[in-house]
Amino acid sequence: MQLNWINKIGLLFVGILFISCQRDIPLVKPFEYNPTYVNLDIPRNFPFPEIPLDNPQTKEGILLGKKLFFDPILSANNTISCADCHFQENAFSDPSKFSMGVGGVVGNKNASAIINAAWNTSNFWDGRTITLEEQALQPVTSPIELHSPSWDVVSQKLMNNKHYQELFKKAFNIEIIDSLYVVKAIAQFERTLISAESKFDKFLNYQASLTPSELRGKEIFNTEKGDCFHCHSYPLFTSNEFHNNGLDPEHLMHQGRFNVTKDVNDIGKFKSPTLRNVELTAPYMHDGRFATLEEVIDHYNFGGHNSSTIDPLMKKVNIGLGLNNQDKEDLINYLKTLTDTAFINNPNFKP
Amino acid sequence: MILGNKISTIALISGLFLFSCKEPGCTDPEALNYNLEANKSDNSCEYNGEIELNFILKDNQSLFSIYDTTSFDDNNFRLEKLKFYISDVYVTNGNDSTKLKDVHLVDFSNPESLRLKVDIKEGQYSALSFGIGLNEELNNTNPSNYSVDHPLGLNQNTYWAMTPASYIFIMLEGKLDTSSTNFYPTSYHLAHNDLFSFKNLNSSFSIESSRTTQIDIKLNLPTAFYNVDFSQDLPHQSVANPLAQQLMNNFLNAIELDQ
Repeated sequence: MQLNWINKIGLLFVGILFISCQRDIPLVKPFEYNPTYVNLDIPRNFPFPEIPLDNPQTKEGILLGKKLFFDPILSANNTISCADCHFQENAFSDPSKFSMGVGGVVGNKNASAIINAAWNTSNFWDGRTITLEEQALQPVTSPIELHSPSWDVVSQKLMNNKHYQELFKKAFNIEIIDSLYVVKAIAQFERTLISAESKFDKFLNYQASLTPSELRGKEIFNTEKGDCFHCHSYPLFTSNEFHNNGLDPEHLMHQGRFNVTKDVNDIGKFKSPTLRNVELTAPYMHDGRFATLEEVIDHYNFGGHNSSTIDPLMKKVNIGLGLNNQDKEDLINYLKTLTDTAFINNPNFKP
Repeated sequence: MILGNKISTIALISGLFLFSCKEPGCTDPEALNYNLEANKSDNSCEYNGEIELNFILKDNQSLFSIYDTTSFDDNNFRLEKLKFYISDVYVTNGNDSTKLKDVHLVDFSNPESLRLKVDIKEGQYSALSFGIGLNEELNNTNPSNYSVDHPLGLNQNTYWAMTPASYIFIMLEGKLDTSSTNFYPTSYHLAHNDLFSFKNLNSSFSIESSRTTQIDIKLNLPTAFYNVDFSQDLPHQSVANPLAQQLMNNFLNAIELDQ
């Protein structure tokens, strides 16, 4: 049967009408995983840090890590974030002797400052984790910190959040959010917390002068007179090693590194902290026992308590350093040149 | 006559061709001196063997470890840290010297650092030598020039950045009089270009292909403290004063082959 031209036009019209009656099909651009890899801004005289091969720094990962760092969603009742124990104005330390966890539970160590953490060779005062990723795993479920019942619960909370779904997709190309990627992102952000623009750094770069008192303090710091340089050497101002600096006599020593190694030779040893921004990181020592830098220097000037694990570098343990008031003032003035105001005001580190 | 000449010419060319096909040399691609042109083995192939230097800490004849206590000159000393650089490590074969390693950090707290394995050409050798510390060129670098885990890298904690800047050649730390309830932290750190010294160990040894030759090098701790007056302040700066020189000389004397 042959259709005449009128019938053909009619069929065409019906066809067009049929198509036009269909609902619009949305144009969905397929997701393309294309993270922006970024290099850390390595300061002069710093080597490149070791970054895990499975967690390269990306713009998306750092942004996600920052959001997680400041978000109380990681805590049991959504009240406390990492930033509640690591304040930027305090060089990411806590001015409280012991930080307060969920439900007002008080901790038992002074929160460590997060400064140049990319170069950490271990984390926590007893060094119980090696990488920043491993470190970030612990506080979230710790009963004295964020106290989430489990990482599964945290992961589910994040997956129920559409914004986090998008951020994890962009940063890691994942649909299932698990603890591994949460801590990867946090570690990426923490690696960006680099401090190397203090007055002392500028002095080394011929961009600032030190006062006579600061210069005398520098001399005390870097010679046997103060003997600080062994454990707090430039550029990190920490050796990343564990020392018993004579805080307690034998029978009162805290366990410290022994908790990890179970070696009695490690009782009373704690990781030496960086002295960068030390003016801002009071109170001092693993238990925050010293409220001021003056108290810290008085401890070393006294020489410390002798014990079986006293560090061999505490050479004046039975004698004392013999610093006079002027020496102490000079040393503190020098320590204050390690304050990095650009670090504590860096907008990239704010929520 | 013409035919005879032609035959002679062909024979000569064939002979040359045949001769040129037999290039003698080492024909093993695995050999150090493999000759791509060679098609006839002349047994000249040379291969690598392996040398392993083992650093052993001793209290005279006894094995010694970190946190062990030794007695000398009426003193008890408990060792807590001992690490030192060796650099410019050479073996000698007649008039030829072969460099095994630029720099290596021996750390008695790190068992891996106590074995230094290096590939070396097979043959007979008569001596081993190395510097204790760093030569001036290496000592003028700093940890930012290296990866953090390199022997000269930041994680070793062997560098003083402040004037006078230097790597620490030897770090020896421990406590005296550990038999009583009083402990006297005792340590020295040696660092200065003028202290860099060579240790020569005459030893005849052969390296065979695909085999590891072990050489045990002992450090006798009491010798390191020979005739040292502990009432003095031991060195902890980049200095080459008489006491630092004495300690370096002692350290050199403390190192010998463990037969």
